[in-house]
Amino acid sequence: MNQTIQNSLQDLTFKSILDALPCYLMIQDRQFNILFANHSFLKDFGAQVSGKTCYAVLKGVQHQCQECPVKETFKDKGLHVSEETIYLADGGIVEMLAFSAPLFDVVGNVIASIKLLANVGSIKRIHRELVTLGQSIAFLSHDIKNILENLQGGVYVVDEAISEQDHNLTLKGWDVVKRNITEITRITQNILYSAKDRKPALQDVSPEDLARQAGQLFFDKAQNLGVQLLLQLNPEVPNVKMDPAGISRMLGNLIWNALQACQKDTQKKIHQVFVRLDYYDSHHFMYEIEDNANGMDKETYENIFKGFFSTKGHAGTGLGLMLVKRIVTNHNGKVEVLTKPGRGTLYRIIFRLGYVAEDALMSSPALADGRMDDPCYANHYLREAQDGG
Amino acid sequence: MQYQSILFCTDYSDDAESAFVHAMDQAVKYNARLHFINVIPAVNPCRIHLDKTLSEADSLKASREHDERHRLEEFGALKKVYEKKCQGLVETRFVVKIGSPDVQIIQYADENDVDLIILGTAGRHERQRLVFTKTAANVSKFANCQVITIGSPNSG
Repeated sequence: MNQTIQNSLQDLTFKSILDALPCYLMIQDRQFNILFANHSFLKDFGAQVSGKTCYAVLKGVQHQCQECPVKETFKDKGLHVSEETIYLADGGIVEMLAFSAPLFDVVGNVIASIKLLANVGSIKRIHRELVTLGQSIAFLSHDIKNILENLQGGVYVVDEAISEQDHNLTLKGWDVVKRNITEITRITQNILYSAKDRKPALQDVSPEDLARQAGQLFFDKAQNLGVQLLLQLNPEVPNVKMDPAGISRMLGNLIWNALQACQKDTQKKIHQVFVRLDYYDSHHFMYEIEDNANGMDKETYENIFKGFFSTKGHAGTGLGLMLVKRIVTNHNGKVEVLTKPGRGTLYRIIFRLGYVAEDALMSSPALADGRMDDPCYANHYLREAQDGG
Repeated sequence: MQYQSILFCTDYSDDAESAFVHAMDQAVKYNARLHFINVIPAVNPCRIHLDKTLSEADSLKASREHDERHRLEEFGALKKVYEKKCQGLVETRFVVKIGSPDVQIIQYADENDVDLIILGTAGRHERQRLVFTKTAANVSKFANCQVITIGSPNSG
């Protein structure tokens, strides 16, 4: 039996071995052109990759990547490793570990680079989930313990007030109880929402109604904190198919964060939180939640969407923003953040109007008259100049 | 303040043209490097699957290729519009980005040690929005360097 296997192995060619590798392998020249790719690569990226550059095939761009292991290999003849995000031909995006090594000619010059790409997306996802799970137990236990202690404090004040028949003290204690019930409810709802990777239950909804309802939930809270909560909503934005529960949670978490940031900022006398809804362009609309609180430093900014990273100390779990990102991703949307220490923070959430029926789109005045088409391009300017406009 | 690196942002509006005059003055006065940036306001990678005859994958690929082609076309046009107007400056750089203008402008300024941003008060397409703050307002609020915004007497 072993002899049979030995004989079969002798019949294998280098190419058949490379083709059988369960990872992508390619050989590239100094200009990053693909000279050879194995079967796995050709299967996922198409048969016509030979002669094309790796960045055109893997990233769909026409310029070199900023960090490129192949470039480094040609430079120092060494082995290099990097993590890369690759766009598959089927639209999938995968995280890959890329190794590059030199191929030498007989006198020791590097004539090509061999690059091997291994899919590490599933490993990284599991790693992230395990880290998140471990952190979650520690952070949540701590936060829930704090809330329960505050609740006990509130109950004690109410008990004392009842025994002394002090109505004002009763109201004070009851307010503490209510605030902490609100807090524990929010944390519990966020945990439940984040417990599984749910798909959005799409319904035909008005983005304006969702923003108005989310804002109204926080008017009392804002008033208590002395913060002006201002809604600026464009009623022309048409209905779209979204998961109303998810979008409400997303807006609620962002408004809540903005109010908490204002509460924490002692430098300014007047605090404002804006909730906005408007078109982004003719194919997208956006929500913006902006505050004029303390903003974020670089470290905070880089960590805000990681689970259980919070700047609120005992007042926050960091779960809210992680959920915001998940809800946005589930709706194929995009989050942008502008922030500056001392000035404030703006969260912009962009969704496409693509779910909207064509007739609904055209019934929107802004879209029907074409005024959301963006003519701010140089070629348009040049045409205008030529036309004497 | 001695400016060494000035970023001029253009969307070819009247306001941007007024801002350009000021950007040139400042660049000449301080012998500063002048960066020209044009941002194509598009949502990348929040893409639209417009062509229903294509698969999602092909549509995404076409969208990426379209974005890159568009960016390169705009880059050529940006140089064509401004290169001749700024001869004699110590150094000029041209760049076209795709994304939200305020985010891209601030990011570019941070990455290139820009110490002054000059831009028009209102972009072309922003005049039509109902309630949103403008790119200029956001850049002024969130940029990590000095910002000058300039309005044109012709703008409405």
